[in-house]
Amino acid sequence: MYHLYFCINQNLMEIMNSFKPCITLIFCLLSPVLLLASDIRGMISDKNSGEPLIGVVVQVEALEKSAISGLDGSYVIRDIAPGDYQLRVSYLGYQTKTINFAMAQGGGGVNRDIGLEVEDKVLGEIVVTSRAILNTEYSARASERIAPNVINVVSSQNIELSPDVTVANVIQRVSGISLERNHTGDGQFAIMRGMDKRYNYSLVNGVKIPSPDNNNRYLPLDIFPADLLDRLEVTKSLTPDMEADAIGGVVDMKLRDAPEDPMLNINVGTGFNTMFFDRDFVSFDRSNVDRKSPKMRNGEDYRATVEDFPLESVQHERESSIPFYQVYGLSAGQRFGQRQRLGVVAAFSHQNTARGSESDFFHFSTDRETNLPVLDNALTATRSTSQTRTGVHLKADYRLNTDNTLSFYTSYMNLQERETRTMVDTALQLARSGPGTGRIEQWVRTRQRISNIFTNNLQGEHKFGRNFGLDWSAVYSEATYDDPDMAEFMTISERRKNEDGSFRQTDWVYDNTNHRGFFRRWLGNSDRDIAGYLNLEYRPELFGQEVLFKVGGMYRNKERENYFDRYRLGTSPTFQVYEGNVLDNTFNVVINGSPNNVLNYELTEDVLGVYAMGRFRLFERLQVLTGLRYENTEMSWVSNAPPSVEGRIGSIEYDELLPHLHLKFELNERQNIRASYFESMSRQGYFEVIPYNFYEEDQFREAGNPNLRHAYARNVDLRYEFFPGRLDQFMVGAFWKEIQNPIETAVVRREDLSNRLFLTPQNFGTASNLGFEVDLVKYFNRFGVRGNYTFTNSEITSSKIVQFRDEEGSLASRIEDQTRPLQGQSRHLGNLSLLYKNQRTGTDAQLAMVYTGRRIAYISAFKDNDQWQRAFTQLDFSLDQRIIPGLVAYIKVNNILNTPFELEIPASNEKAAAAEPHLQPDEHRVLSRSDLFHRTVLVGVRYSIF
Amino acid sequence: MLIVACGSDDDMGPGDPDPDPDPDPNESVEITDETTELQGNMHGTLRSGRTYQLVGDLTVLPDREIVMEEGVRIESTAGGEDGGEAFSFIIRGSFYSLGTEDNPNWITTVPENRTHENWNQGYIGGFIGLVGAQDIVIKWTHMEYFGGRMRGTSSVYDEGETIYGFYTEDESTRLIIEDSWFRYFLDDAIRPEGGKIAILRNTFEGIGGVEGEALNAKSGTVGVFAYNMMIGIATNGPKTGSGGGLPTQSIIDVYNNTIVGGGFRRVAPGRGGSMNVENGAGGYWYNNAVINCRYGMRVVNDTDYSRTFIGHTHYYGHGIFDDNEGPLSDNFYPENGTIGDDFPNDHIVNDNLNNEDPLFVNYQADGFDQEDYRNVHVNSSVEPFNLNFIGDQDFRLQAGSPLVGAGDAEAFMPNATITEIGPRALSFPVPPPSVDIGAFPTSGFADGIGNRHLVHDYYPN
Repeated sequence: MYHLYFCINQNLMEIMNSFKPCITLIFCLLSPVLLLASDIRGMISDKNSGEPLIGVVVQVEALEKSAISGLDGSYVIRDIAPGDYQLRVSYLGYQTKTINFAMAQGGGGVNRDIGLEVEDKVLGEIVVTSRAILNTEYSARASERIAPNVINVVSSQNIELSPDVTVANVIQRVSGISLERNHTGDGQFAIMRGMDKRYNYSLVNGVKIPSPDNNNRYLPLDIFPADLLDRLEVTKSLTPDMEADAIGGVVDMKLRDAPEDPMLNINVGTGFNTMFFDRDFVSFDRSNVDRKSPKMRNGEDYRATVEDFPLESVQHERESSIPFYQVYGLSAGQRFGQRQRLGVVAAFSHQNTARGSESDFFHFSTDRETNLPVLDNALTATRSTSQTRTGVHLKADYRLNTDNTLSFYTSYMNLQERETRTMVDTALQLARSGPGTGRIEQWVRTRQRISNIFTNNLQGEHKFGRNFGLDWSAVYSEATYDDPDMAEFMTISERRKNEDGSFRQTDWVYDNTNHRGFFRRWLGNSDRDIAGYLNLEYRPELFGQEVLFKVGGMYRNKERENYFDRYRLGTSPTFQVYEGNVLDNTFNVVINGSPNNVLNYELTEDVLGVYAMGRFRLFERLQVLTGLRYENTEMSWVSNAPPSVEGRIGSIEYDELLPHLHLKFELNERQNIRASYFESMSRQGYFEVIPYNFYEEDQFREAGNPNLRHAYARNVDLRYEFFPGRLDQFMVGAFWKEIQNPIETAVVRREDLSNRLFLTPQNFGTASNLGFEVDLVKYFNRFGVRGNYTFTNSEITSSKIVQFRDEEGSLASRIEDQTRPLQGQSRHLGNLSLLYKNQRTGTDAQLAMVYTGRRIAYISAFKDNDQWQRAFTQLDFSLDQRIIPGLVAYIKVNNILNTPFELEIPASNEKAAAAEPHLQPDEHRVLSRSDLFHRTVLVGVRYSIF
Repeated sequence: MLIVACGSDDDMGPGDPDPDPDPDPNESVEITDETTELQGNMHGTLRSGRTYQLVGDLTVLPDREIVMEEGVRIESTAGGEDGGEAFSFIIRGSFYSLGTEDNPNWITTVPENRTHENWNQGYIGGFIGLVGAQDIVIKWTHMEYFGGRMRGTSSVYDEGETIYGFYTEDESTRLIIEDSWFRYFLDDAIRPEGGKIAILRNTFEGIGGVEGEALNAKSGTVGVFAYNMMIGIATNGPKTGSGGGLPTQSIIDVYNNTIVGGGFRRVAPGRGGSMNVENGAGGYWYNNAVINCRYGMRVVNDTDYSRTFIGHTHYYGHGIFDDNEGPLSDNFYPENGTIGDDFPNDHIVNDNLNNEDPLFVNYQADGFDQEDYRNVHVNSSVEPFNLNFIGDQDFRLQAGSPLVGAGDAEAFMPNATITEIGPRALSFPVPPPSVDIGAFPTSGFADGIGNRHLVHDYYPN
């Protein structure tokens, strides 16, 4: 403990020192702005809501001087000669206001804040609803301030202006969140406060939806187009009315609501990735790819023939022209009928993009005597991926009367990815008689992935009298994933040295061996969730305050199906040369499907949650929210594996009782101190409990773990918040988590399996995670700065292998404990965005930087051999320019620095540099991977009518 | 499908019985005089002179055993190239096949299927020795058409993959194969991934379809591989490595073996074609004859050099290699770099003496032409016969053979890890190395030195 304390202290000092300039800047920003002589300045806001008004025209008529209020509602008119003046303030939809002021001789200046009142043109009865515009930056700040627990909100206003086109990329701008990227460099999963994706969940409109992921529960966030969002809410401390299976946090994607006034948004754009200036995009013909495998089409007993596997879809085709993106978005909403009771909003988004990656990496092993990394193979891989992302969203709400509202929403998300990959694998050890010689393997792959999420939600909100409220949701959702006919074949060649010292390369020939042949594989899964939620509220007046009691529950039934059908082709006759076109070769079927593979399984899960909570004030300034949640989980599965496979049928049941306490101390209107304690958990992945068993010659075997337990956590949060201006914000927070039975996939010796090492999902004792966050938003007229910094320090101890030579001269190994951060946890995370907004010219610009500190990407079985992702900084830019009112042109540039994704092992290069010294020049680290994704440029126009 | 939930307690883990009742996994059926078919969990004795049909996977449970007396036949008709999956011997207890020189045992297909053309039909899977398996002992037994395809998945095989002849995975399993014949195996004949092994005086012919070795040992395996005769193996004869995650280092002594015409059926270049040691393994590789193989001994540079010793290998290669790539003998030490430059000089002694004709009793060494293997290369067949099977050839040494007396019988003591086996008191002396290179030394038969297979008249039509 002392040691830990010391570490943190040291780190704090380090950080404090390195961030000194930043801290100075923060204090400067917060200090009151000095008044300058002969200027008039102030803030303009909505008198009722307090929301700052942007773009308000402020004129000193006598002088013909004017200004427009900025992002924060501030205005300034400079150089006003001494005298008495009238200031005229006008804004569409608001009553124009005229104010008198006097500019004194000899300085001082004038400060005037102005509140505007809504121009009330609507006659007769106005239906009073809880209308709140929630998609603005102001309301985002307000939500954060008002919420009883620790949350962060990103508004659609902010999303629209940001460089981000998918939800995943938006979320990285929130403090404490970093991204795990997919193979094209696009963000896919959120790592929250150093907690891996498995410890977080995602919601759509407050409701959990199934994931199309083949193995796990977490949602890939790159399936959601950002322009469907109304706002994004990130919850870092759970309340009892939320599902309990998050330890890092919860992402809630709030989709657009029906507006009060008719609304139409159109977005059309195009773009490109600069990678394809330098090389061709490689595509394939997927017209004859069958979504179903031969056995899925014809029954389990069917013997597939080579005709069932068309070769046309395997052949790579080079595109000579640069593939351009197509981006379309359309959303429209209106209220209809008597008293505008029916509101409808529909949105459609379609994105066609072409991306890729260029990777250099190594296969390596661990030296048996020194435990240092050794390079076995050097590989290069080139990918071309085209993605089609389609989202449709429809929401209708019907206000029966002031007390009862029904709403229905349905959304459909579809992501199709088509990918070609060529990988060249050069052996650095085998069949090598000196530099430049040896065996080369070439892997050629074509693949499609199709993910769908379809969700339907019927909701009702009802009030009974003054004090009672009830809301409910009935949800039906489906998620599917299909990866049909992934085809990959391998050919092999050898480089030999000629007598004269030059090299020659032998023909590429097929190698039809067990793990290296020509595979055609179908896999996929489908989830169906039916869920119901019910919440009851009672808000009596007690002890002179409104007290909230809330009870409720939810139940969800999930049915999941996974399929896996794999075939292998062999060349017939065996010896065939590959000359670049697979259609020139002839094949037969060697492995005829895998209907009894353990990965063909059905799984059901029932989750029941109930809770009770209360919110009240203990003293005038102390708000207390406390409660209990109970969750019961039953999961069971049946796999098609033969009866001899243990665990092919199984079930797990557990329940947890989870206490919550959230305190909010309101220092004053603009400052809060929060403290919260809650307990939460994280469930096993579906795939993890299936008793799968993967074997590859000379590698660690992989096995599922039907005995895996769920993880459980105690969480403590502290936060200080200061809202100096209406849009401005300063927050400092700290958190501490203790996770029991954290789940990681690592190599362990399985005593039940003859003491062999297996790569297997496993619970690892107790882990701790603590850190602090600083969040800052500050606007000054046309400029704004948004930034955050998170420090995280987690610790987990797991056993690792140390290899050595024993006293008898034998190669041996022992097990030692190693303490390290959780996988995916960066010690330092930072975000800094510079904003510019000019109302007069209609210009918005944003330069956004994300810094992700080094973190463990892959856990090794061997001590000191974990692969770390190097720290990296990504820079994105966006610019919006108004052309005519309502029409905006934009440009978004992503990954300006072409930041590489790099992995390394922080260990001596002594052994790794032996084969090819120039590949590993650094004595203290071994580079294991480097990927480049290049820059993406997107240009387009947006047209809006309100 | 019906999924039954567990009880209401907080317990977890797999537990529920299968809704389709499988036979009790712990019940074993005793073999009686009435038994003619083998499948499921069985134990007992297979009687001399009888023929049994293998009609399903046959499992020997822990602490159970099956004994084949001498002169027993086991036949199977499953498998087949297009017919799919074959049946296997799943050993979690012990299996003894106690054939004798005069009355050997047979594990093969039925007589009508037993043809040379059916070499790649894989009628039988193999012996799968799982965690906890005790003894697998095979003496004087003919084994044919192994390497059929896997049914479902198991710890080591994916559905549809070829099954190794003998697979073990427990460091304590004892695998002893003596004086037996391996023919028409479609993948590795012996694949110990853990165990104590003694593979002595066997004959391997036509092993591996497109890949496969006579011995492919991984981590946790210790023992000896000696006096074996190998011809027409797809890749290597013996190969040892120490990968796969068991704690004990693989140390296997490989001595006095004869390997002829190896490595030509593996299409990929640079894969090995006679003997191979790699990946942390070690042992003594002494007194072996490598004749007309695609490559010489390969020592990959992740081998445990300090525990690897090579000596007295006799190489001979005739003719041209792979479409005019140079003389075949260039693929042997010291010309070819398949033994790393950094291999310690004092760990390799008297290797490759002048590419001399080994002067076997009946083998035309200088008649070898790789062109004859063209058919093998293109079709992965086991033709021509004489390059893949012994037939009427004779690999004993002529009086003037350069192999006579050219070995070293004193350099090391074999890694004899098995001396005798439990209740049956079977004694397994590990023979010492011979000073004559190869599997057929000129003296010492009485002491178990030298391969005893002299007549090869068992081939199918």
